[in-house]
Amino acid sequence: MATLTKTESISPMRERKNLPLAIPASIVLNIATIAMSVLLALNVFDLDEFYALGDTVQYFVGGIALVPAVAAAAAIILLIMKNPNGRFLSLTLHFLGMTASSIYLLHIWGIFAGFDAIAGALYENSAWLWGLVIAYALYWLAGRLNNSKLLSSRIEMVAVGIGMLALIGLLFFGGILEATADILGKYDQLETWVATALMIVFGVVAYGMLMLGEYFGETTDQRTAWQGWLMLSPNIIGFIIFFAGPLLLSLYLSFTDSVGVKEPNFIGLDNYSQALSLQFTTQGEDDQYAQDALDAGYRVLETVTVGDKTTVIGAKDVYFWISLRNTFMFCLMLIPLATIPALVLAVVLNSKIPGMKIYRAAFFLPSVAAVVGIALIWRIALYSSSIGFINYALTEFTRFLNATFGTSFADTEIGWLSDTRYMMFSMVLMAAWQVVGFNMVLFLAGIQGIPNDLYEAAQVDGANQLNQFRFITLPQLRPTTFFVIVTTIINGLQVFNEPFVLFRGAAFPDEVRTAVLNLYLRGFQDILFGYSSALAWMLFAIIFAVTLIQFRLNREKTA
Amino acid sequence: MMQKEPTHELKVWASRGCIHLFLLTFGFIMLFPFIYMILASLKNNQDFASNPRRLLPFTQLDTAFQDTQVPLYSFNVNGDERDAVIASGDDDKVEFGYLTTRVALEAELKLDNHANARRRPEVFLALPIGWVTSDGTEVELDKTSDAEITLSRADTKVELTDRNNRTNEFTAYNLMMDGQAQSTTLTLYDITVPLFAYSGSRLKGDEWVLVNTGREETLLDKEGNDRGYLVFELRSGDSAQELLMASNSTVTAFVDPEDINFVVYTSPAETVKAAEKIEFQLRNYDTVLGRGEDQSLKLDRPLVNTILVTISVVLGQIVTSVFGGYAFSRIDFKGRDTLFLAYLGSIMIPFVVLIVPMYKLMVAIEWNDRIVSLIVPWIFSAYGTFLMRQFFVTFPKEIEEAALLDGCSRLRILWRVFVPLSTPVIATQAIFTFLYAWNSFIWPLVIISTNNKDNHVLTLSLITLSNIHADKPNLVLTGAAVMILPPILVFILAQKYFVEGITSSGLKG
Repeated sequence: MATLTKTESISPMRERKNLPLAIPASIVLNIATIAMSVLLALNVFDLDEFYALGDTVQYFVGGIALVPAVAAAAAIILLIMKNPNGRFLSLTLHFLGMTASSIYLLHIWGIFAGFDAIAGALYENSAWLWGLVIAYALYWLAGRLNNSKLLSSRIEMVAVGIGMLALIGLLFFGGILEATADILGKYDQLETWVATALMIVFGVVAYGMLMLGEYFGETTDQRTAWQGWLMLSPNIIGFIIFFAGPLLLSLYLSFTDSVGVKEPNFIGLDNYSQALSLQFTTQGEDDQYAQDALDAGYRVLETVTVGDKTTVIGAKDVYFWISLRNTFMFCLMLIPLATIPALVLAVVLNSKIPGMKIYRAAFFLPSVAAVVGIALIWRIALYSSSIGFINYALTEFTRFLNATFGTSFADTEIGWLSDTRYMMFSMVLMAAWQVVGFNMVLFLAGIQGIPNDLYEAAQVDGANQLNQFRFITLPQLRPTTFFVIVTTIINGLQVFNEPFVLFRGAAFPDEVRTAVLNLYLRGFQDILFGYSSALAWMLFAIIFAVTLIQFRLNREKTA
Repeated sequence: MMQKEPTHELKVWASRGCIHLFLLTFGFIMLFPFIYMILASLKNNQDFASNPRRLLPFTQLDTAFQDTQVPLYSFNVNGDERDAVIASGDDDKVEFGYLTTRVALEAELKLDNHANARRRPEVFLALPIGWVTSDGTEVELDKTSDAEITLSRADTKVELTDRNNRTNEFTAYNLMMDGQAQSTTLTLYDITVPLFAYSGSRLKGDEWVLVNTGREETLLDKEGNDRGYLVFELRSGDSAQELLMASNSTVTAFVDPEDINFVVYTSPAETVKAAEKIEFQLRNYDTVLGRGEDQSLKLDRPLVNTILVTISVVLGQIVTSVFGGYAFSRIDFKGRDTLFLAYLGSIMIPFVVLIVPMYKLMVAIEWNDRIVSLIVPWIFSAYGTFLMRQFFVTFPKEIEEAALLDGCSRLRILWRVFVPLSTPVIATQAIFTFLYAWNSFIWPLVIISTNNKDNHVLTLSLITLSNIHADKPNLVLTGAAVMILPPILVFILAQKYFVEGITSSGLKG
C-alpha cells in the first residue's frame, strides 16, 4: 500500500522535460514496422500456392500480417498525443518485433535445423557425455556427505572441474568452432545483417521506451501489468503458434477436401456428413446380396435378421463406424479391468503392512514405460501363439489337469493377436495392466483422504471390515472413482499406440481399428487431411461431452 | 485365556500371509514382462525359443569331437546321463518309415497338407528303415527287402527322460529278422520320438511279425495324382492287418563322443537335451547399440537423439512454465484470469485434433523430418504452467512485497525465492515431462520419415527394429530394454515425486 501512494503522489507532477530520444526513435521504428508489415502481407498475398492451404488461409494470414501495421499507425498517433497507451502499444510492437527478428535470425543462423547436427555431434562425441554423467554423480554424492564439509566441498570442486572439462571437450570436439565459423559465414548475406540490426534496434528502442515510465506517468498497476505480460510472453507466443493457430487451421481443414499437396476447396459439412451418413433399409426379394439393398455410395456395415426380415445398415464410411464401435468397446472393457483391481489393491495396500512402498512401486512401474516398448514385450513374450508365455501357461495347465484328473481337455493354441475374436481383448488386457498401478495410486490418495474418525465410529458400532469398505470407503471414494473412470475413458478414447504396435503388419485388422488409428491412417496413409481433421473434431466432441459430464456431476456434488 | 492368545496371533499372521501372497502374486504379474524383457535381452537367439520356456539365459556348451568344436548334447537313458554330439557321417542320418492303415491314409490325402502340417494322425507304426544300435550292430530294412520282422516283448524296461524332464518307462521289444535274433532292443514310444514308435494301444499281444508284401498300392491324392505306397502285413497271433508305408522322415543320429558305438536316433527336440550353462549375453546390448558386426540394428544414434530431445523439452518446459506460473499467480493485472482460463481450457483439447495442422505447419516452415520439430513445439505446456501456478499461489504475499520494497526485481525474486522453494514441484514436472518426451510416439511417427534414420528417436527405431529383425526377438527385446530402462531408473530414484505429482495435480485438476 505504501508503494502505491508514493508513486501516485509523484505522477501528478509530471514534468514535461525536453522530449526523450526514445519517442522519436519509436515513431520512426513504428513507421518501419508499418512498411515491413505491409511488405510481408503483400508477400503473403502474392504467393501462388500457399502451402496447399487454400485462399482462405492465405487471406487470413495476410490479414494478420497487416495487424502490426494498423497497431503501429495507432501507436504513432497516440505517441504524438503523449498518450500512455501509445507507449504500451509501441512497447508491445517493439518487443514482438525483437522476438520475431531474433527467431528469424536464429533461423538464418541455422540453429533450428542445426538440432540435427547437434545430435550428430553429440553422437560422434558421446564419450564426453560420460564425463558429464560422472561429474553429476560426484556432485550428487558430495551433497550426500553431511558429516565432512571439507571433503564434500573438495569433491564438489572436482565434480565441477570434470564437468567443465567434459563440456569444453564436447563443445570443442563437437565442432563449436566450425559452427561459429558457419554462423559468421552467414554474414555475407544482407538479410543476416538486416535481421541482426532489427533485433538490436527493436531491443534498444523497447528498452528506451520501458525506461520512460515516469515520463508517461505510469502507475504501479501498469508497471505490474507489463511485467506480467512480459513473463507470459513466451507462453503466449508458443500458445498462438503451436496451439491456437493449428486449432483454427484444423477446424478450417475439416470443412475442406484437403488432400495431399492439392489446393483445398471449401466443402462445408461434407466431411462430417460423409462420416456420419447411415442408411437403414430392408433387404428385398430381388436383392441377392445385402449390398444391393443400399443406395450408391453406401457399404454394408451390419445386417440384422429378425424373423424373415433382414435389415441392412449401410454407411458411407464403414471404417468410421467400425472404429467408433471398437473405441467404445475398448473403453467399456477397459473401465472394469483398470479400476476394480486398482481399487482392491489400494484398499489392501492401505492396511499399513510392511513393504507397502515396494509393492506400490512395483505396481506403478508399468505406467512409467513407453507403450511402444510394452506392446513389443507383450507381442513377443506373452501373446505369441507359439512361444508366448500365456499359451505356455495354458498348455502346462491343461496338461496338469489332464494328468491329474484324467480329463482330456484339448490344448488350444489361442491366437491372441491373430484370432479376430481375441484381438480386442488382448489390447484391453495389456492397456489395463499398464494403467492399473496409476489408478491404484489415485485410489490410495483418495483413501488416505478419508477422515479416520469415520472408521473409528464404525468400529465402535461394530462394523466389520467388509461393511466398513461398503459403507465408508466406497461412498467416500466416489469423487476419486469418478475421476479415475473419466480419465480412463478419455485416455481410452484416444488409444493409438497399443493397436499400432501390437497389430502392425501388412494392414491393420478391422477389429482393432480404433478412432485415432483410423484418423491416423486416413490422414497420413490415405493423405485425406481434410477428412482426417473432421474425424478429429468429432472425436474431440465425444471427449468434450465426457469432460462436460464430469464437470456437471462434480459441481452437483460440491454444491 | 492363555490358550486363546496364540490362536489370535496365528490368525493375524495368517491374514498377513494371505495379504502378502496376494500382493506378491499381483506384483509378479506386474513385473513379469519387465523381468522377462531383461532376461531375454541377455539370451542368445537359439535359447529364446526354448521349449520348455525358461527365464534364465542359457548357452549350449560345445566339445571337441573329431578335431572340431561341435555343440554338446546329453541324453538320459535308464537314468544314465550321457554326453552326445550329432554324428557327422553320411550314414548317420536314418530314414524312418511310417506305416499306417489304408483308411487313415485315404482320409489324410483328402486334407490340405499345409493346413495340417503339424498333425500326423493315425500313424500306426513307425519303424526305422535302417539303424545302428547301442552295441553297434547294423540292421537294414530296405523298402524292397522282404525280410520278416518279428517284434516280441522283452522283460526289460527302458526309461527315457525328455526335455521337459519327464521320465517315462517304456516296454522294450526284441527284434528278429527272418527268425534271426538281432542283439537289439527297441522301445515303443510316442511317435514323435521314433526310436520305434506306434500309435495308441492298437498293438495288442506280445509278438508281431511284420512282412513286406512287395506289393504297391496306388491311391489318388487331392490333386488327383496317383501315388504309390508299399504294402506291409502285420501279424499278431491269428490276426493280420495290412499297413501302407505312408511317409518316411530323416532322424538324426547322436553319438557319445567318448564311446562312438553308443548311438541314439532321435529328433533333437525330444529325448536329447542340449548341454547348457547359464551365460548372460551382454553382447546383445553391444549389437543393438551398433558396436557389433551387424550394423543394421543401430539404436545408438536414436538414443542420443532421444536424450537430446528429452533434455531440451524438459528444460524448455520448466523455464516457460515457471515464468508463466509466476505471472499467472503472483502478478495481478487486468485480463490475467480470463487468459488463464483460456490457457487452462487448452488442456482439454486432445493432441489428435492438432496433428494434421501441426504437420502442415512443420512442412510450411520446413521443420518436418527434423529434430527441432520434436523439441520447440513441446516446450510450451499449459499443464506445466498450471502446475506451477497452483504451487506458487500458496506462497504468502508478504514475501514479494518485502522483496519489492527492498528494490529486488521480479526476476530476482523468482530466481532467489520461488525457484529454490519449488524444487519438489519442479522435480515433479520435470519427471512427468521427461516421461512424456521420452515415450512420445505418434508425433515422431508423423513428422520424421521412415527413411531418415539419423533423426529417429527410440520409439520409432524400435518399431523399425521389430519389423526388420522379427526373427531375432532377443535383440528386439534388448532394444525395448534400452528404451524402457532409463525411465524405470528415473522412477526408482525419484519415486516420491511421482506419487506427489499424481496425487497433488490429478485430483485437483
